[in-house]
Amino acid sequence: MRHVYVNRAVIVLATLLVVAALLFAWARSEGLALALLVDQRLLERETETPIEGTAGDDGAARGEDVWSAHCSACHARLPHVPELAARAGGRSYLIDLVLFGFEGEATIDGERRSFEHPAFGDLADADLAVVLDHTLIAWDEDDTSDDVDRYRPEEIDEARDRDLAPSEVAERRQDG
Amino acid sequence: MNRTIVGAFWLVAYLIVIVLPLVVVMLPPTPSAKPFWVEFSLALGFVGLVQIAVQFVLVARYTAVTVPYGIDLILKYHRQIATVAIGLLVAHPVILVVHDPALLTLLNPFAGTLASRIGNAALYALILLALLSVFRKRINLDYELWRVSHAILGIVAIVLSHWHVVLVGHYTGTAWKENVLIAISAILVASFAYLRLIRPALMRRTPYRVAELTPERGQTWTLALDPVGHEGMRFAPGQFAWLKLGDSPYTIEEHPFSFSSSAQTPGRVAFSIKELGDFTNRIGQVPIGTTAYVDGPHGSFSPDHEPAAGYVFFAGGVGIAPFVSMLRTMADRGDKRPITLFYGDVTWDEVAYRDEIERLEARLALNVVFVLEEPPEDWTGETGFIDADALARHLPAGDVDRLYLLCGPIPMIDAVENALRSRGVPMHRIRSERFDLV
Repeated sequence: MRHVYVNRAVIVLATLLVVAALLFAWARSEGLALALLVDQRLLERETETPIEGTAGDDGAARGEDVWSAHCSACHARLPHVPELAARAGGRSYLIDLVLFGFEGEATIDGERRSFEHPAFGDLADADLAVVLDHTLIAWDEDDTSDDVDRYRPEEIDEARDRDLAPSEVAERRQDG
Repeated sequence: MNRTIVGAFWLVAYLIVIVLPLVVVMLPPTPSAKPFWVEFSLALGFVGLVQIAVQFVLVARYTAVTVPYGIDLILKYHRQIATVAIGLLVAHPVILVVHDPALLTLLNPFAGTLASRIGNAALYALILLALLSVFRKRINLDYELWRVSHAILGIVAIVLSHWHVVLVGHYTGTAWKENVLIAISAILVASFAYLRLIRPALMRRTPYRVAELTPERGQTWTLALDPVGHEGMRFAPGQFAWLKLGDSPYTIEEHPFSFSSSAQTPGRVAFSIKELGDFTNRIGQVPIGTTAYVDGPHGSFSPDHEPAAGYVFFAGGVGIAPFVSMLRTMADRGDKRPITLFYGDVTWDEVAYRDEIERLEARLALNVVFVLEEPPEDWTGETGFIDADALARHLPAGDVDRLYLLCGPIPMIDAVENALRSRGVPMHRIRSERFDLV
């Protein structure tokens, strides 16, 4: 009569597979983002980000808000942004990346891999400018925030006319 | 080793393997997150794919894997869980399209991206495989041809699926993740090569020859094989083996039969074969001296695996074969534990091995109850089918310590199981051999 156990085993296994898939999906779309958010908060506390040094600067506070609302779900931190901005065309490439998104290949930590980034063109020019500034200064350990060439909302506005596809943004990336 | 521990070990290994792809995908560098339903759909794709690959291990007849559960149950599990896996894989694109109807074009086999077309092709291969299995008998597809198509379609589906995953690239963007996922499938599928290539090579060293072919009642034959140049095999009464006739162990024509000889006599082994199909109808014409290969022993349907104070056997037709082996073995061992044998058949003349069983009654604590569908006029025994009333007439009231072994046609097994359950026999004391391989 053990064939009854087979029926039960199949039901249990099928349930397990679906639950595992649900858990995976939840972790990837919600849970992981939550975990990363907590992670990022801890990092901020531990590293005493230079944001605090510019307290009172509305731009920096707004930049942090935009970051928390739109970026922190996926990114814990992005310490390599200043280096990206310093590459040829890097400054405008970063604008294109947040405005139009990215779809293609990129070299990250010396490894070539496919990569995607959503477009945030529906955010205000000013918000995109301050959040880009935030990525330039937030993890800069030397605290050179005063020397950073800040983004201007007009720059963002002008860039909108380029109206690139995510794959075209990928082509604009300078990966040496 | 203890069968429970071995069984638990394989179960844990199985559970780890089937969720491994999800763990691999989650490892850093993690791909960027997608909406919930997209992630869910892709997770179904991954677990479905590895579950299909696991099927190759399930059917590879590793004795170490199958013994704790019984290969007949493993094969039943294979059919059911593979159906579930195909269901999950079908759900994978369906959920994507329901979530974003704009993706509907991806289901068109002639449109969409290369990745979507390869993914579709993998699904069609699996669906075709499932349909051929379900309708094999109805469309009269040759058993051997079906087996070849089954293996090829399965392998094609797995290769195409991995190609699809690589092309999509989002979840395995890094090369090492792709390689790990492909390696998991490759290892699982390689076990199939073991069954079809390495195992026959090993079997070549232990050939048998047809020594005797004896007609029994009810279009049944006893096929006796002698080992050639080796000791033969040890089996437990009630077990079975896949039998291949002819000079090559690589032949795909093989059929499972129960041993009917005593497990106590080393060397010669005998099988009971009833004329029921293409292969078995010709069994009477097999020349003495024909080379044979025996892939076994398999199965856990045996009193040796389930010690009990006494046994109740239920045989329907040729389902008597494993019990003949059990009775002969117990007689040779001088085993005097009480046995009741219910043996159902159509007519008195067709009752295979009835003369020998009656002789064995003298050497065993055995009570035989023949149940005939079409009894002769002077018949005083049980008639019709084995039912609750027959059980009540022949089983002692306090018989709960006995183990109940059933082998026969599915309707008989279902009916007897129900009758036993209504007598209050707990499920774990009932063992049934249902050998309905596709």
